[in-house]
This record gives sequence, C-alpha cells and structure tokens, in this order.
Amino acid sequence: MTLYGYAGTILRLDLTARRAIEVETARYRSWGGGHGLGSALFWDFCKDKTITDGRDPANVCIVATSPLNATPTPSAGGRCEVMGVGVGMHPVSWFTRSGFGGRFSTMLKHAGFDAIVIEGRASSPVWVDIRNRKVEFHDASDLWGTDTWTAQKKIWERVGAPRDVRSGWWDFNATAEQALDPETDQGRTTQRPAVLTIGPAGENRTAAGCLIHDAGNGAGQGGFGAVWGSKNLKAISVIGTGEIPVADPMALLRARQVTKDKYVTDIRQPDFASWSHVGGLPNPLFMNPPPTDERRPQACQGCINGCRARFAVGYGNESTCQETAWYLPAVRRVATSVQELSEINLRAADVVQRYGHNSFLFQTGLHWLEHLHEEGVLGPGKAIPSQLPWEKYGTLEFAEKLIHALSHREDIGADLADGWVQAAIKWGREEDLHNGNMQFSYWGMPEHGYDPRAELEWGYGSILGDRDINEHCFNIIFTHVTAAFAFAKPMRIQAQQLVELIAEKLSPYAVNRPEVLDFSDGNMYSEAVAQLTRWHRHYTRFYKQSALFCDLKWPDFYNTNVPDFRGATASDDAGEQVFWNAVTGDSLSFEDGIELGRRIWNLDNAIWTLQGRHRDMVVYAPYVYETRYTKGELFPFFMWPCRDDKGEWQYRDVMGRSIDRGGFEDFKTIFYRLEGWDVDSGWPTRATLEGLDLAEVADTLEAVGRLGKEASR
Amino acid sequence: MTPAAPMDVATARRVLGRVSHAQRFPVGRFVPPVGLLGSFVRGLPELQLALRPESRSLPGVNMERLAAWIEHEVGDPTCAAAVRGAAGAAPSYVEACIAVHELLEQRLETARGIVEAAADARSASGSRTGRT
Repeated sequence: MTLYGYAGTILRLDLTARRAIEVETARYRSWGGGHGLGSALFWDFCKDKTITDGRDPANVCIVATSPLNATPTPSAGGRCEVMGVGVGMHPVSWFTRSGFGGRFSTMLKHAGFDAIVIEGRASSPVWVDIRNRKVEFHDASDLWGTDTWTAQKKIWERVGAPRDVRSGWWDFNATAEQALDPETDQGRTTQRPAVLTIGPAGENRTAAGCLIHDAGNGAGQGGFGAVWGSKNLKAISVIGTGEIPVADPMALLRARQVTKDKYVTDIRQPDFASWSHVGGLPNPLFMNPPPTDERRPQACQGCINGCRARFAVGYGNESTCQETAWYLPAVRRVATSVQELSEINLRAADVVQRYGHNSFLFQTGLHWLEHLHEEGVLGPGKAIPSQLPWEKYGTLEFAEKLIHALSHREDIGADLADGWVQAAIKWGREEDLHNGNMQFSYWGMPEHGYDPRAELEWGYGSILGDRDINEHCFNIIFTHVTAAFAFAKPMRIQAQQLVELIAEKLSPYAVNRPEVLDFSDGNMYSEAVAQLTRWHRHYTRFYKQSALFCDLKWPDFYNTNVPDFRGATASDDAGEQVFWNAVTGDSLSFEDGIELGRRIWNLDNAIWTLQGRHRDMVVYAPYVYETRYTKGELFPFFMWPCRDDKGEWQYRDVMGRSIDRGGFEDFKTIFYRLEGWDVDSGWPTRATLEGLDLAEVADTLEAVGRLGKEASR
Repeated sequence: MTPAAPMDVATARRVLGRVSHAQRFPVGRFVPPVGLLGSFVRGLPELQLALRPESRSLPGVNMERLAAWIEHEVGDPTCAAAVRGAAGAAPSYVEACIAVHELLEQRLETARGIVEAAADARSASGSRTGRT
C-alpha cells in the first residue's frame, strides 16, 4: 500500500556496531511525522528512559521529517524536527526538541527515509554517508576538530564524483570514470548533499552544542550538538533522487493557489501593515540592519517567506533572527557607526555558526556575564577567574575568544559547558536568579523576550513543557497590536472582533470562548487561560512540530487580506488539514489534528514522568515571582486584548506585574485536571492514556510506580 | 533650549562618556514578528545607535525614564529637558524615538566639537609652553 507523503522507511543508525537498520514507516504511521514520529521512536528504542543527561550513551536522538516535507505546502516543506534527551537544562535535562530548516529533511526523504534514529556510541569519530538508501559509516578523525562549514565542505568534496562542468550533473552512485556517462541516469543530480554536522561546541559536549546545516540552519535548543559529540558522530550527509508520492496533487496545488489568491497580500498592491501570519509579505528576519541591500533571499525548501539572505559582502550568510543580534548589545559599546555595528554583528553570527554554538544562551546570558565582570566578580584574579580580554568586550576579537573558550571548555567555558544555571550555582550566584540579573526563566534556559509575566501562554507553555516554546502562534497578537500602538495607527481589527475571530479556530476546548485570550490580572490563573494553554500545546505538537508548518507563517487565525478577516487556519480551502489530506490521502479534520497533538503531548509527559518529573519541579525561576516586569525593560508597553471591569474588550498594557506563586499553583491544578493528569503529581493517568490508545505506556508507568492516580469522582 | 545649546567641557565629556554598569539604562529592540531583544546602554553614543531608525524594527525605550536617566546619571539636564519636550510633543511613540534620535545626534555632535576644541586649545597651549 502506498504511504502517500512518506518515503516509507525509517533508518536506525547503531553507532556502536556501525550498522544501519531499516524499519518500515508504516509501523509509526499513526503518529503523523516529525515530533510525533520521534516521540514514538524514542519510546520504542531508548531502553533507559530515566536518563537526565543527553550525553548518556543510552540516549537516542531522532531526526524526523514530515509528510509535507518535499511538497509545495506553503512554509511547511523544509522544516526538520530533532528530539532526544537534552543537555544543560536545570534541574533536569528533559526529553526535548529542536528544529531547523533548509533542505536536509527534503533530501532525506528523496534518499528514501522519513526519519533517522541515532543510537549507541561509536568507538571513534564517524560521519555517515547516505545516498538513496545506501548507508556507509566513515572515519571522521580528519573532520573532528573542524568547524561546521569546513566539515561540510570537506564532505561535499568527498561525496560522489566531480560534476560535469557544463551541465552541473553528477552521478553519486558511479565511480569517477563512470560519472559523466550519459547512459547512466540513476542517481543523477545537480544537488550537493545536505549535511547536518556539529562543530567544536558539540564535539566537546558542551550544552551549547548545535546541529548546523548549510551556512545558517541550526537546531540550537536542547544541546543536540553535545548529544552527537557524545556519540562520536560528526555529521550525516544525505543525497537522494527519489520521489515522494502525493495523494491528491491537484488538491495540494489548489490549496496553495487559494493561499496565494485569497490569504496572501496582493504583491501588486501590497498591504505592508496587514494583520496576518501566512499572508504577510516575505520578510527577512535580521535583528540588526543588513550591511548591504545587495543580497539574494534564501529560504527553506518550499517556503513562501525567505527569512534569510546571502549578502554580496560575503558574511552573515543565511543567519537569521537571534543569532544576528546575540552580540548586538556588546557591539554598541564599541561601534562608531551603523555600518560597523552591522559588520561585527554579522561576523559574530558567522562565529557561532562555525563553532556550532547556541547563540540563544546569550539572549540574557551575555548581560549576566557582563554584569559579573562589571561588578568585579568575574575577570583576571577575581572570584570567577577569567583570562578573556574583557577590556575588548564588544569587538569581534572578544566574540571569537569567548565562543572559542565556551566551545572548548576553556576559561569560564569549563563551568558553563554543563549548563548556565549549574554554573551560577557553582559560582555562588543564586541571588542572580532571584533578583533578575540572570533571567533564565524556564528549565535553565534564557527568557526569550516574551516575558512570562506578560505573555501568559508563552510562559505557561514553556514551564509546563520542556523548553522555551518559541512558538509565535498567539504572540503575533502582541506584534500587530503593539506595532500599531507604537505608530499611533488605527487598529486594523478591534479587540473584541480579534478575540472572537481567534476563538472561532480554537476547537475543541476553547472554541468560541474569547475569554481564553484575556490576559488581564484577574484572568491570569483561570480555567479559560488553561484551556488556551492546552489547545496551544496540542496544536503545536501536531501541526507545528509534527506536520512541520513553520512557526513564522502558521497558524493564521485572522487575516486582513480577507474581507471577513478570517484567517487560513482550519479553513476548508487552505487550512492546515487541507494540505495534510491532499498529501497523505487522509481525511483528517482540524480537530483530529489537535487530538493527535494531545496524544503526542501525553506521550511526552509520560517520558518526562519516567525521567523524574513531578509537579513540584514545575516552577519558574525565582525572579519571575519576586520581581515585576518593568515597563521599558524590553519595550515601553506590551499590548494584549483584555476585558475591563465591565467586561468590555480593549487592548491594554500587561507589563508591570509578577507571577503569584499561589496563583500559578492553582493554575497548574486546573491545567492538570483538564489534561486528565494526577493533580498532585502531574503524572498521566491510566484512563487518560488508554483513552489515547496508549495502554502500553500506562503499563510502563505503573510498573515503576509512576502512574498518576485517577481523579476522584 | 536646543540640543545644540552651549555646554561646558565637563558636560561634553559626560555626554560622550560612559556611566558605570550600575547606572546602565535598559533599551530593547522589537523585531516583528520574532522578538524583543533586551539590552542596556551606558552612554549617549550607545543610546544614539540603539535608537537609530530602521525599517524592520523599533527601539524599545521608556521615554520618561530616559529623560530622568540623562539628567541624573549622564548629567546633562539640558539634553534631558530636550528629550522630555521632544517625546512629549511627538504624536506617536515611533516619532518620539525618531525625534530623540535626531536630538541626540545633534547633542553628540556639539559635544564632540567642544571636546575637540578643548583638546586643540590644550595642545596649542602645550606648544606655547614647550610641552608636547
């Protein structure tokens, strides 16, 4: 039977035995793809799910695609999901996830695989060479120690025969002599292999280790570079020429055309200030002005946005978002012009890409290091000794030395390698977690910029899950409304209409319940916000992390490009499920997708439970409770729809408050009850798991005494 | 009062200088649709870079506190008053940022001119007295 949307095979890499094993995807078809597929594979192939450090040899790392990869689904064709037990989180490194874009997932499917399960540990460094289901393990001793770009270049030089200079074609199954034989058509391509690799930060097993693909696609959170480093896996190279069967190509193209014609702003008369997710203009995401307008857009395969660029100046290529500004506050100390500011920033982006170092840690971590240095705590001869040239803070030289040290466990990198909060505790700086000097709000990871004291669904989702969610589904409200306020422009959609439009899409738990979006002080810990939080967890676990719709374009709750402002999400003509069904041949309803997300979320919670999670651990960093989110800390106002005392909706500033410990504990109880989890422990119950066809999971939890008790009736 | 209003050399040095870490001032940047980036500035040259108009993002600054910071921490009440006035008169937050950015640009230019002139005068005086 044809598995539409799938390559049909999952690849297990047993690094210990250097053996490749194939598993039929059909066994895991019910999990969809991406994260769902990965959680199920982790459950089956990780033999010790009590591990709490991803560098443990028992850890299993999964790299998974979606049925939508390698199809023209708008902004869903090129994402890739990574899962496994993470590194450097606090107090526990949970089973967690990361993701990256580019062309790796599509190439993996063209090579015949829907996912890769990485198990065991090689006795010495290896890289894996995949060509149309042919898998070879190669010695990587000469790649070990190279940066991510060098490693990829070296692999490109090795994989296959030289290209025909005139045509660009090459045959990756042929010998060099056969390579240009015009009679050979199998395995011919013009493409380079897609390589996913680690740099020194991963090789040295630091918590900041990333997986990097091409110049700037990275799986940063979770420390999966350290996981690969601990397994002696330098890189996976993949190239393929297979095809992916699509169940209903006409329906797929029709939905894509509807997206363009109906939901996306008309390029002939563009609305630069449209309120939409999928319908906005293509938008490169530089946190800092680019050094030149001479650039080409660069996008993941199938994307309608193109958030990256390749610059004529030759640096900063393919970096986007946070890594383009991780060093910005420091550079401003020394830059004398916008041009200099831009150049140092983007060259610093190149540094983290090459070392495979997660720049997100610097989001608030760099301020903390500067603070320690300025307070006389950190530096030469200080309580926290450091020989880094702090007097050159803000220069490119300092950035390179800092990243080198952190990637090689040198200087302060020796302590930071196992986690930043762990280092703070070792250095006796717990006070910084209380006073807000160190804003690492959830699970030992930095605050994202959407403070949990203001943006509730972001904070709740992060702390009730496994990491900073980095999901902008509802956050787009803040963006649209706050920007309009900043420019003193009229609201494109008034508050009441906006929440009603969104609530129409929140089936099943919060459908037509706009109060779930009321983030006013009086509604912060309510059942309504708990329903929003769980809908968000379930939506993202399936549509965003399993189907792999890109966070930058989906969901599309409201859309001013459409006369009635109804967005594409869940619509009958271009909703997420329309694309899914066109590709897979399923007849999934939008709500079915939410339910599948709930199933995946529950399996994840079962894994966290086996790792030792208990509701008592589900707490924010102390500063979130003990200090207020000050106006002007990041921006002077944070606008969100709220109801006033009369129940009228308006956009209001939700800054200036903290999270109340008791209120949050009450909220957890409500959330756990709604999820069907034990309210005392947060563990899943048998009834809930069996209701999701996860009886075997319930048996496993029961066997180790970690099955939640059923709610009394 | 204008940002080009005269200032003494000591004030000019403060305008171009850097306050202590403890006196730092928070300034963010809002980059739709992905994020708010937090940071601190320790002087007006940095602040001027932080407030620069940019087509894809907005600076994040509390204007009321900014004026107080310039007055009390940087030590330039003239500039602080100008900031307060410009921000108050602006029809929107974004226009306030643009106005304050322009104002700072002028203030920094004035300060640089004064410091350079003082250095030239000192150099000339040193030459006359035989010092180099």
